[in-house]
Amino acid sequence: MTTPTEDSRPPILALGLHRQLVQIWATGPGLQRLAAVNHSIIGVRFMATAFVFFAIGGVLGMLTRVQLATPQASFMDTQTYNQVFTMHGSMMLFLFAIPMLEGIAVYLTPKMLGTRDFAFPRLTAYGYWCYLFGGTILTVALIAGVAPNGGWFMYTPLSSNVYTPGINADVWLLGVTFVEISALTLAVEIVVSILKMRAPGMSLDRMPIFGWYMLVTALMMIVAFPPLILGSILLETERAFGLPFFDPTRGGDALLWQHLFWLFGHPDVYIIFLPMAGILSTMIPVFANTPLIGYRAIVVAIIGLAFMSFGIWVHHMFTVGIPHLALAFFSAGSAIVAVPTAVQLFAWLATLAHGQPRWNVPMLYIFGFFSTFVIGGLTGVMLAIVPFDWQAHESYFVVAHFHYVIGGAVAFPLLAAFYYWLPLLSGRRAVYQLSVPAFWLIFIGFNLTFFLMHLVGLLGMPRRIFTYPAIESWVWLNLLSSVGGFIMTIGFALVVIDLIAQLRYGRRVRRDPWKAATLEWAMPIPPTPYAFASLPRIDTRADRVAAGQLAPSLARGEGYLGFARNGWQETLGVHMASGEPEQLIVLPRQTYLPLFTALCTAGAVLFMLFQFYWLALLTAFATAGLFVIWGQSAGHARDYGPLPVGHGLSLPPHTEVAGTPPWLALIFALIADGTLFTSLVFGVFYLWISAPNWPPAVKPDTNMLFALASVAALFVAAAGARGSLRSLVRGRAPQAWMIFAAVALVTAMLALAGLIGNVNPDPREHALGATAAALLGYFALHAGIGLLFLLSNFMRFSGGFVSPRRITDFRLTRLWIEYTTVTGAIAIVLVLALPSLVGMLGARP
Amino acid sequence: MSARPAHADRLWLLTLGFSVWCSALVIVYAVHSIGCTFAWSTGALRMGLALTIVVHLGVIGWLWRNYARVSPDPALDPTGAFLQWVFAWTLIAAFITIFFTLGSTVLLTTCT
Repeated sequence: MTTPTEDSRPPILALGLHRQLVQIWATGPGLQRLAAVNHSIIGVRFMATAFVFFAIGGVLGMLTRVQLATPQASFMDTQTYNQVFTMHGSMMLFLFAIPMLEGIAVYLTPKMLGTRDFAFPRLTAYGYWCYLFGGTILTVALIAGVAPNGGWFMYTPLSSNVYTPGINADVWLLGVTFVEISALTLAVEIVVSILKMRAPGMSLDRMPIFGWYMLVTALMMIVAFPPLILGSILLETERAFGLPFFDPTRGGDALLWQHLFWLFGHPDVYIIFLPMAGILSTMIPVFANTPLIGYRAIVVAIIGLAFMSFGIWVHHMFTVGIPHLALAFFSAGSAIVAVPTAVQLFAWLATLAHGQPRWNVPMLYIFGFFSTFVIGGLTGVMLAIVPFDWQAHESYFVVAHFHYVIGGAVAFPLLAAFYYWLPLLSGRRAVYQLSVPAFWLIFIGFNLTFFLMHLVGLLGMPRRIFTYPAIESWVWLNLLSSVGGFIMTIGFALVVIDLIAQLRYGRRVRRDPWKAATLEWAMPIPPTPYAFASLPRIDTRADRVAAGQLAPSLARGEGYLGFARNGWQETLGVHMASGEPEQLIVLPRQTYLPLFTALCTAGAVLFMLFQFYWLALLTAFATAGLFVIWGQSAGHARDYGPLPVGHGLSLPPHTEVAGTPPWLALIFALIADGTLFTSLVFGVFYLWISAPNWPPAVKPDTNMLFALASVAALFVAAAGARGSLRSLVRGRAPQAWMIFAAVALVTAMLALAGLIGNVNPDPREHALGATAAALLGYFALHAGIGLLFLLSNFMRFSGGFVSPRRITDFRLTRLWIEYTTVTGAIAIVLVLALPSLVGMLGARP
Repeated sequence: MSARPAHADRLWLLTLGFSVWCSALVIVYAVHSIGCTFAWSTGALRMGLALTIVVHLGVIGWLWRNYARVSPDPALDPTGAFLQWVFAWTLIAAFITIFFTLGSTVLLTTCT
C-alpha cells in the first residue's frame, strides 16, 4: 500500500494525470502503429501471431491424423507428409510455444512487477518483427511446397545437402535461427527488466512468483538457444559452402548435430513449461483464496530444474551407441529431474488443500493440466530408464509422452490463463455457456487422441511414417486417435467462438474480477499505455497486495513518478536484491527503426536462402549500421544529476549510474555469446575424440606470425578501450585512444583474414580445417563488431551523449573488446594446439 | 543491531551449487570419453572419475561450511535471509544430485 505523498506539489486529479501520461506513452494512430514499442501492444501482437501459428500448426496436425486414420491411405504422399509433420512440430515449438510465452511475459511481467515497460522497448518491437518475418518465411515455404521435411529436429545426415539437396532444410535453418535470435534478444531484456525494473520496495523475496519463473526461464533461454544457433550456422555453412562439420566421410560427425540440437532441445521443453508453471502458481492461490504455499521451496525447485534440464539432453540419444556408463548419468538425471517438478505440483496441491477452491472455467483447465501433465511426467520417467527407452524409442509411445507433457504443460495452463487474464486485456468477462463444453471437448479429445498413442507405440508402431500396414491392433487405435483429434479441434473452435463472443457480448468488468492480489489488477481495465499512473511502494509480498484499494491511489498520482516531465517516458530502476530505487530510467518513444532493422535482417536471411551471398553480406552490414543508428538517440545529451521522483526522493538518470540496464544487458548477451563459443569448443573436442576419419591426411599447420599478431592486436585494442574510458572519466579527449583501438582491431582482422585464408587442411576437405575456420571466423566477427562499438562511441561522443558522468557507452565497448580478447586468445590457442591434438590420436590403440 | 541489507552479489550465489553439479557432469563426461578413446585402464579411468566426483562434492562441502546456513541469520535483513535459505537448499539439492546422477560411475562397466 502506498504512503501519502510527502511531495510539496498539490494532489493532481487522476484524469488530468491520465491525459498527460497518455500523450507521452500512447502510440499514434494509423501507420504509426507500426512504430509501436509499448509492451502492451507488442505483447498482444506476440500472442495473437502465436495463436495464428498455433492454428496453422494444429491444422497440420489434423492433416497427419487424417492420413493416419486408416492404413495405406493416399490422402498425402510421402513428400507432402514429411513437410506437414515437420512443419507441425516446428511451428508448434518455434512459432507458437516460445513466442506465446514471450508474449505473455512481455504483456504481463512489467504490470506484475509494478513498472511501466520493459528495459528496451525498441528491442521488444524488433523481436516481434523478426518473429513475424521468420514465421512468414516458414509459412510461405509451406504454401510453396518447399517446407522443411526432415523432422522438426532436422537430424544430419538426412538434412545435409546430399540427402536433402533442395531449399527445404535451408528454410528451417535460416528461418528458425532468425526467430531464435529474436527470442534470445527478448530473453536478455526479460532478465534485465526483472532484475532492475520493479516497483520500489519489491525485493526479490517480495517479487511475485511469476517473476521468479520468468527470470529463470529467460536465463535458461540465454544459455539454451546458442547451441542451436551454432548448430544451425554450422549446418547451413556445410550445405552452402561444403564445410564438413557433420559429414563423417570428411572428419565430421552426424551425432555432433544431435548433441548441439538436444543441448538446446531438452532445456527448451522446460523453457516452455516454466512460464506456464508460473501462471499456475499465480492463479491457483487466487482460486484457492489463500497465499501460495512453499514460495521458497518453489524458488529452489525452479533453480534446480533449470540447471538439471541442461544435464540430461542425451536421453534423446539413448540408442546412438554411447557407452553404458555415460547413459547412466543421463538416465539418472532424467529420473531425478522429476523431483523439482513434483515439488511444484505438491505446492499447488497443498495450496488448494489449504484454501477454499472456487470452481470456475480457469480451474477446469487447471484440473486438465494436473491430469495430463502428471501422465506425461510419469511416462517421461519411464522413458528415462534406458532399457525401456530402447524399446520405446522412435515409437508412438514417445509421441504420446511429449504431447501429454507439452499439451498438459502448455495448452491447458494457457487456456486457463486466457480465461483468467482476458478480462484484463479486453475489459470484459467470458460468456461461459460455451466455455465449459469447449473444455470437455478439448479434454476428452486430447486424451482420446494421445492416450491411445501409448498403446499403439508399445504395439510397435514407429513414428514419422506416412502410412502403415493393416495390422489389426494398429488400425482401430489410429482411427480412434484421429477421431479424438477432430473432437479436440471442435473444442478449440468453440474456444475461438467463445473469445469472439466475449469480446462482443461479454459483461464489462470492474478492476479486479477475481479478487486477485497481484499488481496487474491495480490499474484501469483495459490497461493504459503507461500501465501505472504512479508507481507503488511495495512493503509486502507482491502477490498479496490489495489491488482494488491500491488502484485509485496510484491513479491519483500518489505513488512515485506521479507526474509528467519533459515529455519523457519515465520509470524507476531498482537495486537487484533489495528493490530500493536507485535510478530514473527514461525509455525511448515510438520509432520505425525496429521495423526497418527487422526488414533488413529479413533481407539478409532471404538473400542467404537464395544464395545471393554478397547481397546478404551487404544487407547484414546495413542491419549493423541501423543498430548503430539506434544508439544515436539513446540517453541524454547533457548531465542532469539527481531528479525528483516523488516521496521526497531524487535519483540520478540511468545514463549517469554504473548499474544501468544496458550494462547488465551486455553481460547477459555475452553469457549467451560465451555459451555459443563454448559449444563451438565442445564441437572441436567432440570431433577430435569421436569423429571417424581422424587424423586428416594433410598435417595441420597454422601461420604462427598471423596467429600471434591477431591476439597481440586484440590486447592492444583492449588497452586502447581502457585508455579511452580512463581519458573520458578524467575529462580528457578520448579520441586518440579510440583511433588506437580501432587500428588495432583492423590489424587483428587482417591477421585473421590471413589465417583463415591459409587454414590447413582446407576447410572443405576435412572437419579439422572447418573447425579451425569456424574458430577464427568467430574471432574475426567479434573484432568487427568491436569496430562498430568504437564507431558508435565516436558518433555519440561527437553528439554530446557522452561525458565524464555518462560513460556507459565506453564501458560497453571496453567489455566487448575484452571479451573478444579472451575468447580470441582461447580460439587461437586451440587452433595452434590442433596439430598436437591430432598427433595424440596416433597414440590411441 | 540493524539488519545487514542483501548485496546484489548474493544473487549469483544461487547459481553456485548447481554450477558445481554442471561442472562435475561435464568433466566426468569428458574424462570418460577421453579415457575410453585412449584406452586407459579400467582402474585409472574409474579413479579419475571418482576423483572428479569427490573433488566436486568437496567444493560443495566447502561452500556449505563457509557460506551456507539454513537457519536464519539474525544479522541479515529478510531479503538476505531469503537468499541465504535458497542458496543453502540449492547446495543440498546439488549435493544429492551429484551423488544420484554420477554415483553409477564407480559401479558400472566403463567403456562398453
